[in-house]
Amino acid sequence: MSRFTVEVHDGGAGVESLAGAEPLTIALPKGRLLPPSVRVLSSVGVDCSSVSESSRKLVFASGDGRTKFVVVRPGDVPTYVEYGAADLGVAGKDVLLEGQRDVCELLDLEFGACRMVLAARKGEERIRINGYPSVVRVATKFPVIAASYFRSEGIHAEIVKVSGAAEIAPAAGLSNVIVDIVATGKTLRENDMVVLDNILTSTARLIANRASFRLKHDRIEALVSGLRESLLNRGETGEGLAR
Amino acid sequence: MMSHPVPGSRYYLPAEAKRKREIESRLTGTFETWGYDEVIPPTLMFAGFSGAAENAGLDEKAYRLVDRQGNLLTLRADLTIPVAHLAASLLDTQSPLRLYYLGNVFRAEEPGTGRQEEFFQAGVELIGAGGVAADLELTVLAVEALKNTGLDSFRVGIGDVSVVEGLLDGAGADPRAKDRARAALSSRNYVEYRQTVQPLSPASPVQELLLGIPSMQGGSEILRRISSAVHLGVEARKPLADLAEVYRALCDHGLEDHVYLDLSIMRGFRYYTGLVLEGYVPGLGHPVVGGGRYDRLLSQFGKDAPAAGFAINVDLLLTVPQRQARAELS
Repeated sequence: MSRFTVEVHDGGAGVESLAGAEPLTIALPKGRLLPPSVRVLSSVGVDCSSVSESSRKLVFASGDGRTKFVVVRPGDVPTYVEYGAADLGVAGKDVLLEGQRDVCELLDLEFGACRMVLAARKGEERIRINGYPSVVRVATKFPVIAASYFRSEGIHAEIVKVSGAAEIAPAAGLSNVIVDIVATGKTLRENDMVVLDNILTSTARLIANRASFRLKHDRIEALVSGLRESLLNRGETGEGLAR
Repeated sequence: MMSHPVPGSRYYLPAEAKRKREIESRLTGTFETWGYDEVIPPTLMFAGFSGAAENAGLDEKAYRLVDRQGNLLTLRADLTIPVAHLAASLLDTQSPLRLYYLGNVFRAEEPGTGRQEEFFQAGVELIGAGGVAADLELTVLAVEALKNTGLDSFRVGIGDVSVVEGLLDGAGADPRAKDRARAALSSRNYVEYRQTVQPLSPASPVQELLLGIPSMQGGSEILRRISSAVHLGVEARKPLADLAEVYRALCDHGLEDHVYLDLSIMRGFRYYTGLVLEGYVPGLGHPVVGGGRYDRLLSQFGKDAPAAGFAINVDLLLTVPQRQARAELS
């Protein structure tokens, strides 16, 4: 552990006193990242027992009243955090890069690993080497990331935003290639797609609102230190913190 | 004809307009009590009339239009740069200059972000004065101005961008690593910041300080850490000592409930050169005040003079009572 772990105490002009009694609000992503988020937070003593995805409720309070949770679509987590509707949030790096929200990125939680890839239909895998058509059409849920990737490659691309299932776009004639998230690669294989390039690797991140990071610093810092320590231990023992 | 307001802009209804006027007159009243004189810069500027806007990251957000001669113009995206421009021509007759402004600024945002694109700022510029005394004056004025609007629970954090600069030099960072570290800090990406700093002079006291920058927030305990770091003999010694002196003086002024030390504040690092400040109000997700020292800005207008200032977001202050009322209800 770094010696710079901040001890949780009120040091003279502690900024904590202002918001000390208020609960910490954490925005959690629905779906794939929810169970590991809950496990990781519970492992450092955050009472997440009230959080459940099956219920229709989307706002939960912990039994001890110290924490509140809002469970929202993964892409909305940074939005809740930027506006201070939540103090903290768990969001994939892919979502952060796509959303360009003004938040503090505090910690790599190391779970939810996935790759953002460029993919094409089998039989067209040489499109990148042999040369794209004069305008390559790209179907993606991540237009910001896709546009910046093609800009950096120096390729003129027309980005078509889809809300999901980008892998069917080339077969349907909507696009030449796709930019999409791959966790296991199963979906791509089943749709006869092959990976042409890795754009980035993403993991879940703990993010904070700019003001909360200051006004609720002591609680947030204690949480971050705890999480950092358990991630380190996990690295040393090889045990999964959030398997 | 489009009959709705342009997204990102708004109407102020009578009750809001009245409250806005009240807040503004309290702010400008405070500035005047402190000996600051009002200036009113123009709304339209020639595009690229200084590199300063670009350095502040404001250039890409500027609204652009073309005048009848075909010149590219921008709507002002901030007031510091036009006021600094004006001050450069006044400095020959008077120094230091104490100027304040009140006006709207325009910043283009991506659709759907919900960010206001036209909003009002009230701020001051202290030009031709540097050092601890000027930094102290600026911080005290920021606190007093907020207090006089009727706000009582708020915190103004002070830091210094040259501390990280000096620590990075002390750790032997090459220019690329320095740029990466500073860019990560100012975009508040502390994951990337730590990754950048991790390989620099491992396990040295300087590296420990660098790793600790994002969490160096607080009062007396941070002051103690800063004071002991002063003996490290790195380039950051002077700004750390000055920052500690400003903080102690603020406490002597009885402001310890409203100020704290915060080395994580970076703002736009290319623009700021020394002290930086940001003010936060519980329940508001964005800082209500931001500013600092930009000693290189005047040189863009042919003058070599220290300068510092801050801007208060009037629209954000306008939302305070509603928010607090809602918090009490829930």
